[in-house]
Amino acid sequence: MTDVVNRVKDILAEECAVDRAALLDDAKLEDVGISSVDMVQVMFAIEEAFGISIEQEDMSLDIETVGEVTSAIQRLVADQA
Amino acid sequence: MRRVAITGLGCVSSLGHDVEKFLSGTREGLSGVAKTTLPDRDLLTAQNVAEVKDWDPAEYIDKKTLNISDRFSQFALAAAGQALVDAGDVSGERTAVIVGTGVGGAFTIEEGYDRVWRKGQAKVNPFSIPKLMSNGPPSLIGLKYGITGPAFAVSSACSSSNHSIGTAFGMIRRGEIDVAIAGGAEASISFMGLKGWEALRVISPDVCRPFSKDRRGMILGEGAGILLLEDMDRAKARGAKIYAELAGFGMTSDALDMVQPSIDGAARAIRQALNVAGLAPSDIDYVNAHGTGTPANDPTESKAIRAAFGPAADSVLVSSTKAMHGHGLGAAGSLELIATIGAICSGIVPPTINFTEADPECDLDYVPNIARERPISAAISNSFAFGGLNAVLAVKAI
Repeated sequence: MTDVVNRVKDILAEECAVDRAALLDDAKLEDVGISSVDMVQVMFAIEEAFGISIEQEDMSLDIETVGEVTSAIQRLVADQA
Repeated sequence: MRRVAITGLGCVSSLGHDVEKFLSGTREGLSGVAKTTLPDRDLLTAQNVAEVKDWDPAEYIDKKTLNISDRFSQFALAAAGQALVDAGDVSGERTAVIVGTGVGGAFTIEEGYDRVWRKGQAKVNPFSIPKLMSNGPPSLIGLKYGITGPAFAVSSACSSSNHSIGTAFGMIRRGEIDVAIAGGAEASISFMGLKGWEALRVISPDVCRPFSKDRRGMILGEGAGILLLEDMDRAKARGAKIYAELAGFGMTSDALDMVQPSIDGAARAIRQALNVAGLAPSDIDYVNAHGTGTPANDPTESKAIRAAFGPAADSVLVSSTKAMHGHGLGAAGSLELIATIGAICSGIVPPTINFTEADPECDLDYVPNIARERPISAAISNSFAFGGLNAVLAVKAI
């Protein structure tokens, strides 16, 4: 599953044009320069990369950190495998 | 009424990604026409187009902006960046951004259909809506450069650029704004776009030969042209480089036919532009024609020029640069105004290339095939759109 985490971080860095090294698990999305609009593009790219479907309720609004994003995607990948 | 200076130019075209390449290409009679790079091109009967070549938007646009920018907006952003650097100054609140497009985000729409209907995918790009909307260019330009004055798109098919620039001209003249970033952008040489034009039977199977007897139709182009327009006193006060004065604008509609052009509608627009500019037909040295190379446009436009110019039509130089850069639709008028300004600034009139044989129905001097040296003190640039919408701009040397 670390593979999933790494790929999600790659996508976050690529789609949001942010420094990959700044994407520590406890880093807040807002603090590294990732907005909610950026996350719309990120979720699209993640769906494409993993062949999964992310519904609106899957990514709740209280997701604030990089680690919370990767955990949510890990769960979805496991559920939809 | 205030006077309007043109102080910045920017463009992306099939002849190159900047004004210098565009102007040198049009002077040298180069052609931007080639076989389309679309993957399904074998399903098209006419495959020649004037695409913007080797386009890498990342050279001009940051990744986040790119996520929300259709190809036509990318062209507009790149051209606006050039125009702003060229002009060297722009202020926020008293500046407008007015950019025309005929179609909007054609590729975004097609990609969505392709994903869902052909590839069976469940979702389309999450920014499909902001990408496809026609006001993408003015909004993205305003966002990037912090322009907080009026911003909107104008859509009138092939006249979109001239209507945009003419609207900005009027707003500066009346004192509503001081500066405008104005022009047009288009990127609709998509598969369905080409299929639509193919069905209308106005596309040339080989090249575009405006005003030539053996013309077989138009060649679609794409790109963007953006001009920085400015209150003349403001431009002079800041010591700006002034390319030319935007002196007149005329617009009419035919109310006659959705696709057939009209002599009267076009001639009235030309007369209006001259009247606003305070110019007589004999003052005009050059006409950058709409000149699509279709059987219908070219004789009609020639007769309209003759109707508006009278005896002065015999001495005015007329050329269509579309044979070189393609028909840019919503971007056409802005690219052609830049070509016209280039003629004023260099004293070299761009030619009508691919001209092989005179047509008795087209009896003006079309500067066939080779550019001509002539001092140009004033010129007009014509755009006549489907829907019968005519828009003509007049420019004067400084």
